[in-house]
Amino acid sequence: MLKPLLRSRLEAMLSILTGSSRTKKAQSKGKLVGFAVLMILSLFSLSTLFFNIFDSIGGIFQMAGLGWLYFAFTAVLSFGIMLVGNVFAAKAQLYEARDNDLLLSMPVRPFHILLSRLFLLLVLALVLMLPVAIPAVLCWPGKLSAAGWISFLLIFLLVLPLLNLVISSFLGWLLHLASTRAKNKSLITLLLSLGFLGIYMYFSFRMNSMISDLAADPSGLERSLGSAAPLVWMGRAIAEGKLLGLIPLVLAALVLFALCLWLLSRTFIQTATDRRGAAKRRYVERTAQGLSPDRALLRHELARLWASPAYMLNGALGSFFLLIGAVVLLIKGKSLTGMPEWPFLAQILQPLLIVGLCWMAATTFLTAPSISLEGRCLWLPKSLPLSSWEILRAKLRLHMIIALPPLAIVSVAAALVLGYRGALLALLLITPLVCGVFSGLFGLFENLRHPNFNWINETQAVKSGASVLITMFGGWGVVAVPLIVALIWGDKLSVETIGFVFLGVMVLLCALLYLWLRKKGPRVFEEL
Amino acid sequence: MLYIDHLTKAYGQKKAVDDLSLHIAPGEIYGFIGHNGAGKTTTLKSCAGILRFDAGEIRIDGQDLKTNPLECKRRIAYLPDNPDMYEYMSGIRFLNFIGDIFRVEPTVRRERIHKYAEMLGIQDDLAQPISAFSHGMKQKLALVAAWIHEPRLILMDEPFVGLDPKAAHLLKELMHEHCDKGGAIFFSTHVLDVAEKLCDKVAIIKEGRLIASGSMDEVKGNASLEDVFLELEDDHA
Repeated sequence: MLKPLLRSRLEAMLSILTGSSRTKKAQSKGKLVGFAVLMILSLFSLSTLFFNIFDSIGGIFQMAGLGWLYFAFTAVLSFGIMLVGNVFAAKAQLYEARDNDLLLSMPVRPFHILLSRLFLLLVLALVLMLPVAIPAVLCWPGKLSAAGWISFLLIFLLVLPLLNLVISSFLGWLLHLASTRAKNKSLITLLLSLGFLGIYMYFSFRMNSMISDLAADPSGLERSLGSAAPLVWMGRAIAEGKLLGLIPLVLAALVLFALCLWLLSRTFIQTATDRRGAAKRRYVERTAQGLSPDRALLRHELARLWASPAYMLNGALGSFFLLIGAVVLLIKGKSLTGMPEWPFLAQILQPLLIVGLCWMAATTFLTAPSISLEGRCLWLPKSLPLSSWEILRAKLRLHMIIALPPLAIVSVAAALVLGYRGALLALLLITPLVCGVFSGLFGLFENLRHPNFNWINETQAVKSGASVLITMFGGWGVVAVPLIVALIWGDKLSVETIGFVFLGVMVLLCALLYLWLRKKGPRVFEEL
Repeated sequence: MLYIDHLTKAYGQKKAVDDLSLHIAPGEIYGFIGHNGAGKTTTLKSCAGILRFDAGEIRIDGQDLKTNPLECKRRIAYLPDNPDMYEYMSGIRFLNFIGDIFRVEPTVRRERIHKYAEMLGIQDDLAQPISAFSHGMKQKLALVAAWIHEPRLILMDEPFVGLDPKAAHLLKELMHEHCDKGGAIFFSTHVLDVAEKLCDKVAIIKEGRLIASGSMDEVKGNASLEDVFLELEDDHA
């Protein structure tokens, strides 16, 4: 029974990624190719990022005779990325999957259900790790011996993924415990998630300076990592072909994974069927304040957002960062204007910040999964005396309420701190808001075209639906257009001209999307 | 109250409902029976305005569903076979949401919630999130939500599934009470004994087509509804 389970996991993942879950029919070849290209492009851009990093440090490490450190650093980096990507997937797949009851009632060994879920996590871990490991080995200027290659494959295809499964299963369990037993589940899950994200962002933002420090003085890293024997063994096994050093690591990974598997299989049924929640609250009768249908719908959308940390983190991450950005700008903004070592940057700072804000606007896309999130409850709004436009408008309003105020606050903060004047001031105050409106309209448009109601865990709807991916990448792509135009025709066109043409195009796109949603959107919604 | 005339609904090439006509008068409890996949749910969903239909006409309390869907929906309540509701809401918040959408005045809403939730035994649980409700409790919550705006017509898809015997008995009482006040009920069921005792009229559907309809006596005569149903199924095989 294991094979069908594995196949169903992979099919579910592919159908979500390719958007075929809407029609329950095979996706057309053209669309499949389109989605495949999108996925490959995403992985390629991630690989390019790491290629640049490894390219800048590879030669220095080789010259310093610190090949082991180079590969130990690669291992740490890829392990970190696997962990960040897999912890929440482990929580969703191992402990909170909605199809556990169904599968447990079938003549399937619980151990096989568990294995199929771990298999999916393993595939995800490998997908996340490859964009780091492959550029690292390609950028290494030295030549790896046969033993080095064997070590590389053993470490990146076996040791690290297995250890990652062990740790992400444990951390996923902790998150699951915190989110199910606590009174305010959403808040706790949100704080924990933001904590993880904060650590990730800290390292991401410091990446450049860390790489510079590494290139200038690899001995600092040597001192930090040199005391961790397993990292030294890993690094030496690849760089120097000392295969024997890997034996304890491979054994440790296998034993730890076997232990984890044993623990999970012993507790799987209990965990999968555990319905304990917070203490029961007794209803105290009181008269509610009546709301108009419009306000009731908006309140319902806000309640859905607040109840789902995954929705908040994926759909409204840009708004979180914008609020932090406003504070940072007010405190440290002046230092950006006076950078004698970067005169060019100071010159383009103002238009660049407008583009940055537009990019952040495209990072908030609450409408993109909003229809998919109705899931099995879609019958409810459809059976109520509400027009389809009222239902769609409530989703748009939620997006505008969450996305636009932070954009306005940062724009005003930037105007105050960085001394925008004239045309650029107008562009700063208007363009990011228009991009925010565009993101909401485009997300809703895409979700009407690519809804996914077959999700098992809502994380699938908010994270990996076709509408979410298209809205996110599409939004970023649109914002990149003025940058590309400036790079190509910057000498012929002024920044203000490019800005206003871009603004005009965005307003036009918003108008077209609004008209489509107003005229055709309700009809499409009714057909779902 | 409910007038269905030549209703046709197809999924691709397959006709789920084919030229179906029914008329339900005020005060009637109308049972709708048929095997799985016969077209009961599609008919009920079409009447509730959830599904668009391809041909025919549906009128609710004199209002045309196609041209005036909101007026029709204000007069009805629909209960699906699987009461999926917003799990992140508490029971009371869900009921207040429904009350807001139907513009039920807060004090009236409170009285009705109290009456029906108390009757069905879920009053104390209303502060709990719906995700913590059992299937039966969700079914009861959906029933309270259906009655909160005192609809003229109640459409129910397998309403007795998941209910405990006491709740099933109470539901039958509620159905009678509703029809005594001039309302009407159209519901599907596989429990033929219940349909036989409860319904004033019954319709039997097979492969999307109506094969028998009328008062209970007209349809079953002296036989049991189960015998008539099985016989008709065989005759139209």
